[in-house]
Amino acid sequence: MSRRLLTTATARRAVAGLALVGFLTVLGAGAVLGPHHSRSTLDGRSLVTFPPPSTTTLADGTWMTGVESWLNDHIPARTRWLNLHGLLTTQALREPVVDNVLVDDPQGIQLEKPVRLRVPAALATHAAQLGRDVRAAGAPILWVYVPRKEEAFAGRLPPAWHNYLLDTRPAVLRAMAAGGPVLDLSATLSDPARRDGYYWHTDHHWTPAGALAGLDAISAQAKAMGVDIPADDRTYTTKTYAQWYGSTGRKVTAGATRSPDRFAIPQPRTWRAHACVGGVCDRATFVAAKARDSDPYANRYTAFMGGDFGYQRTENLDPAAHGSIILIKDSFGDALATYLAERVKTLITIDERHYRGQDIRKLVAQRHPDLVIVMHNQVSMLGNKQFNSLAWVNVAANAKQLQGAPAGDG
Amino acid sequence: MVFTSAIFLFAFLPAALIAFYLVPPRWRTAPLIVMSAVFYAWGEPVLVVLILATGLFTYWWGRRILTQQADRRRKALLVVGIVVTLIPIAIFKYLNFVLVQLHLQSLADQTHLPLPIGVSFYTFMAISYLIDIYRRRDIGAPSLRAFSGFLTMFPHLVAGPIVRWNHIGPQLVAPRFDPGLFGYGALRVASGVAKKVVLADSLSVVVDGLFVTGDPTSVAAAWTATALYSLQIYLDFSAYSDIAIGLAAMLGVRFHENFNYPYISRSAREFWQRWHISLSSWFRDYLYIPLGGSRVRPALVWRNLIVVWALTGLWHGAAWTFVLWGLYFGVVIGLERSLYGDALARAPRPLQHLYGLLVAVLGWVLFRSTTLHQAGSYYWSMTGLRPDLPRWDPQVGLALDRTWVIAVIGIVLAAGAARPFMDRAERALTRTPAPAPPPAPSATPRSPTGSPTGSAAAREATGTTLTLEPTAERTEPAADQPISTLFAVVIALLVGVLLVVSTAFIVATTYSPFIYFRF
Repeated sequence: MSRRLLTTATARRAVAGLALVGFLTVLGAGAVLGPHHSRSTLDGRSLVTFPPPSTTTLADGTWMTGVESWLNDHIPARTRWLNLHGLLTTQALREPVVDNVLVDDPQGIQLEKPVRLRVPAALATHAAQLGRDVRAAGAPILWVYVPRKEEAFAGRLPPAWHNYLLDTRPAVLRAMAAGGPVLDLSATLSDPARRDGYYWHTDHHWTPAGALAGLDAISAQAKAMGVDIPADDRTYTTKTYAQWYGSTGRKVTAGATRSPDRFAIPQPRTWRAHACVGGVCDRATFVAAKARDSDPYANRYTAFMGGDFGYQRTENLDPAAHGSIILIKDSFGDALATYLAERVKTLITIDERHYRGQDIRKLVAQRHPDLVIVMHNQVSMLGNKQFNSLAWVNVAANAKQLQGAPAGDG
Repeated sequence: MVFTSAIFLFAFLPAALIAFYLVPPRWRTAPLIVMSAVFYAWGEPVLVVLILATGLFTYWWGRRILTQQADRRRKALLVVGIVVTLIPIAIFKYLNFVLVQLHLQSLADQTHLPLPIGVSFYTFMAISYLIDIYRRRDIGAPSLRAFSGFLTMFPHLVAGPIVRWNHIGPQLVAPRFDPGLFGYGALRVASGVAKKVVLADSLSVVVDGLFVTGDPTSVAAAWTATALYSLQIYLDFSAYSDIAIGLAAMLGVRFHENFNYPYISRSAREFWQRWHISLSSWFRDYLYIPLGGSRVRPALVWRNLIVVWALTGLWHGAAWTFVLWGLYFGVVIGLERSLYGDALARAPRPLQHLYGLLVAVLGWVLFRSTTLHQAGSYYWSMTGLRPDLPRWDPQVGLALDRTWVIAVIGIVLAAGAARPFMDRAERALTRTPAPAPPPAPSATPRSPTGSPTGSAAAREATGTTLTLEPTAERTEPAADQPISTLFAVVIALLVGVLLVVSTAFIVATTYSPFIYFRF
């Protein structure tokens, strides 16, 4: 009897210690023995693999760092832990900001703390050069400025956050103007009555509604320049796919997101434009498989044009479509291009961050487009690190500001 | 390796505990040394040699002092031992600072050395070991293994507390598995980790943002930054001590408490009886008392205070801001002793608390500032007399918006709200009294086991007013108090909840997604 009592008392005293050791051991063992994924949609990257040890890496400590990175990436149920962190931070600790993203906007718009970027002194010179080159090759050029979400919702940012984007916008617009006529979409997309529909709440991009509003404004501007971008008179119906978390939503996780975005896409009965690969034009411009991805953290925005490509040509054989356009763009251009391609016969999109092709003058001379559109938001324009043959922006200094944000889908 | 990293919690700690308890009690220092070496080498694969060499030298030199009978020779050996022990910290921590002061900037740039983790802690432990042997208060470690186990044991390696051989050594002879102590240790570890990763680290993001410009943006910003930093550093440092004490308990070893709710102090002197107790008691026992303590004429008391507190400041870092921070406390404590201590004692208690808190909080400005100019700017801003500075700015609003819940929790904890529960858990689980803080050594004869014995009366006789007395309000745990099933379950659940919450925050610190964000 006394032995049993002793055992019971001992067990009671030990239970907290055993709980701790059990909890830690299960997580550690789970990382080693559990299923290992090689890629994470939440992280948007390949996960770290276990590093092989060597004398050098043991001596300089890089093996240890590698093991820590591996463990950090492979903790069991990692996504759930991250969601719980978001939930605790916002609901229990009442934090309005998570990882420099404002998450407590009443309408659920997530806004990022603006970063200070430098406008290169040579930006205007390079823009002017590009404008001259394009015109010399025989095409008109239109510069389009797309405001970031933080510009459109400037009044909703915390007063403590200085909105550097508003500071640099005039200089960027002036630089663009050196290269030709500029269409500033700021007023259109900042319309308080409509802007909530123009941007995803959990992503930094514009929605199809925003892109279509931008396309209408571009068409009107092009018309004023004597270039006709035909209208698409078909009826577009909105198809809603599964809910998703965009770039900021992935950053703060679902736990800190008020509600995910509905991936609602206006689309015609059939998409008549197709992207070309190796001379065969049969690829969808709107990749429904990506829109249907069951992972709510999957980057669903890449459904537009399949994501960013350095060079992409689309052809539209429908008789209602005519004309050709070269669109030099960042990722905002993907949504726009999906709808623009439905209206023109040939659309060539160039993403300078990935483009490794021929000089722009040769391309224009070869393709004879009706119009060259250069469309950028200022962050992609000033922060780009990979302008090569179109090296009209010197962004080395800004690249430092954006460390950890490698060029990719934008 | 950091206590709050995934690699420590989910890999190293379970492995270390298993390795420790797999071997018989009297051999447990062997896996402890091996695991501690791994722990240290994980972050500093080369500099682990330094701590091992310090251990080797200190043990060997201690034997030499012990076997030497002539007092003068013993003293010479002690001086040499201390000097040699101080060489690593002098080179790695202070050389660069000295060179800069000597206007040898180019040389300083060339000799920029990494600071070995925990060097300030293990150097002081080694010195106290040698001094205790010299004073014939201790016969030292019976073996190199025993001493190395004491000096390198991983719970105290990163951030203390500064433990002493005569307290820890006997416990390491044959540490047994004590389920209650193990459970209590788990509770301390879990609460410490939560305090660090959930509260302190969350505060640090905001505090760093406020201090980043080096110049406050408003009067309110200066006060807010200072107040939040005061909370952050307490939560952070005391959390590390909680974890260290808990880890040691899980290994069957009891450390002294290192923090005792310092922000409820009613004077600067009391603050240092409650803050980083192992450091203040070290300076008391090995510097202040040998200098004469406070039982000398007033001028010498002032000298002693200035020397001790300047060195206390310098111990925290090689910068004038730290030295001034130490001197600030030396002067305030001196003034409390000589000028207004009696008046303060007669003041209403809330005023005394306010005074104690204000002294501590104002001191953190110096501690947090990177330059004297920055500290001056903060102090000047806090007065509200700067004509160019607004009273309030939006940064303050956002900072308070982001931290008010954490601040409330932190203040409640700093005020000791969790103490009744923790004390009850300690009594119920451990069945042994909490170890009293180290007494003054000059009144403490060596016991046969090496454990110190001492009394408040003995300390009074030496005039050791610098540091702590055993706190009156600390309750003595009742012996062999039974623990109910409900309370055991509550403690286990609390440990579980704290670990779940902490894990979420630990995983989040490792999350750095590539989200195509900037473009």
